[in-house]
Amino acid sequence: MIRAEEIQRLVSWSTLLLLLLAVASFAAWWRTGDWMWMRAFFDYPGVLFFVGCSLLGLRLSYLCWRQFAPGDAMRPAWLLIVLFGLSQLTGGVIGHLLGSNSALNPLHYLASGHDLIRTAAATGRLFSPISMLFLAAGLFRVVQICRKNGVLAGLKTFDFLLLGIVTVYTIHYFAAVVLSSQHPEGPVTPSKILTWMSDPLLCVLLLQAILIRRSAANLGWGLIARCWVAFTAAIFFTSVGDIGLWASARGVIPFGLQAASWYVWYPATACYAVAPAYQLQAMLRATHGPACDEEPDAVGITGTGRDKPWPPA
Amino acid sequence: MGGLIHPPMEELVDWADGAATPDTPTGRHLERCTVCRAHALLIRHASQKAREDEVGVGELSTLANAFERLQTCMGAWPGNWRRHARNPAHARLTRTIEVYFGREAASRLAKASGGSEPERHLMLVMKPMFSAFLGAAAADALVEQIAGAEC
Repeated sequence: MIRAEEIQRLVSWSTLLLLLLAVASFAAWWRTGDWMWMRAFFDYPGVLFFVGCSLLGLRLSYLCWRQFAPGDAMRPAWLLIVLFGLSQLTGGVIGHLLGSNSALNPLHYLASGHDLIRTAAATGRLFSPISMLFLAAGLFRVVQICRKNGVLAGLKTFDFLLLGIVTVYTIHYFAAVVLSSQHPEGPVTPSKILTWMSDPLLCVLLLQAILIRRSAANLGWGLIARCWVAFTAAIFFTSVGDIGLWASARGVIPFGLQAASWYVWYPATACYAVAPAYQLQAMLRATHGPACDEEPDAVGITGTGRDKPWPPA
Repeated sequence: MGGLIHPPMEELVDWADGAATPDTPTGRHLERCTVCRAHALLIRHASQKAREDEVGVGELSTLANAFERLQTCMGAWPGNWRRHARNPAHARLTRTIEVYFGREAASRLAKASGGSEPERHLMLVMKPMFSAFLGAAAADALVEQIAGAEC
């Protein structure tokens, strides 16, 4: 049985370990010039971390959703976050695991595996805008609840600047790729249109995340505030990774920053997994009392919390 | 009143709560004994007041006003909650708010109430917020938890 606090610690240490492995593989590649070091990192610990964190995030989000009773204001928001987690996990398994050439991929051992792997890699990418759509809808509900409870904060100059950068990037992307008469990436297909939604959705997500982050900062650093700050951090890392990919493709940033943008997805995934852990801890603590922080059985992630009232009879 | 046996306090409380009818020995005694009747009426008045204090119909508008006032104050004031939470009951509530929402939220509530709002009112004011972010069941448990600690 694992405690919610332990989950936060476990994810933080795993992320640190993964980033140390990333540095080691990068250094080995830099010294030897052998790309195998980088592939070994991205295809094995990288994929396992991504899928593991997505699975954990989905499980914790599901437990949070189950803790809310029908009619609770946050229940629809957490249902959408569960759907976000599900599409993130599905995209991770199809795109990162089945779409890679690693020994972990069962398709790798099939005779016709090569084509299937390519199809899986292309299909996995489609889940990114779908998951973003679910998260944006969930956060929209959270923003509504913050506003209703009088805790929604306004935007500051830095927020407008950050949003401006992402909006300019999105407009530039649309002008250069989507609205261009000559599509450099081939003919327009429904799957391509779906992937184009990612950047506008990221703008919306960033706006929501900043609003929630400001509201949480106004409240302080409680468990509920930490949950939404973790989501905000995850969205921020995703935006940085997305802009980094675009900037790397155009060669407008130095190599060091390009390399950093390859790894920024891992802290983003970790934040997505940790965010529901804070919410779950808050809900279990409220239901069972502070004793649940000390008794592992009371705060197990088996999700039986709703059946145990506080104070105990 | 010489020769009268006055009923014990428990029976006066029963009468005040309406459990004892006029045809019971206590009821008959209270018709004759002005001292006991005065005591019983005082108990009835206190009991009614206590029930109204829970969430009296008449107090709902007062609570709504208090909620609005506190929300306005919480939105505007930063500060140090420890200074305003000298009352142990308030300190317990602000600590709880600090755990879930953060120090700033606790500080604002403590400062907004200024120590003048009864804790029961503060808890009722905060309950919709707990209910929104934690769910109704967790909010109820939290209110019970604080009430239990008070006892």
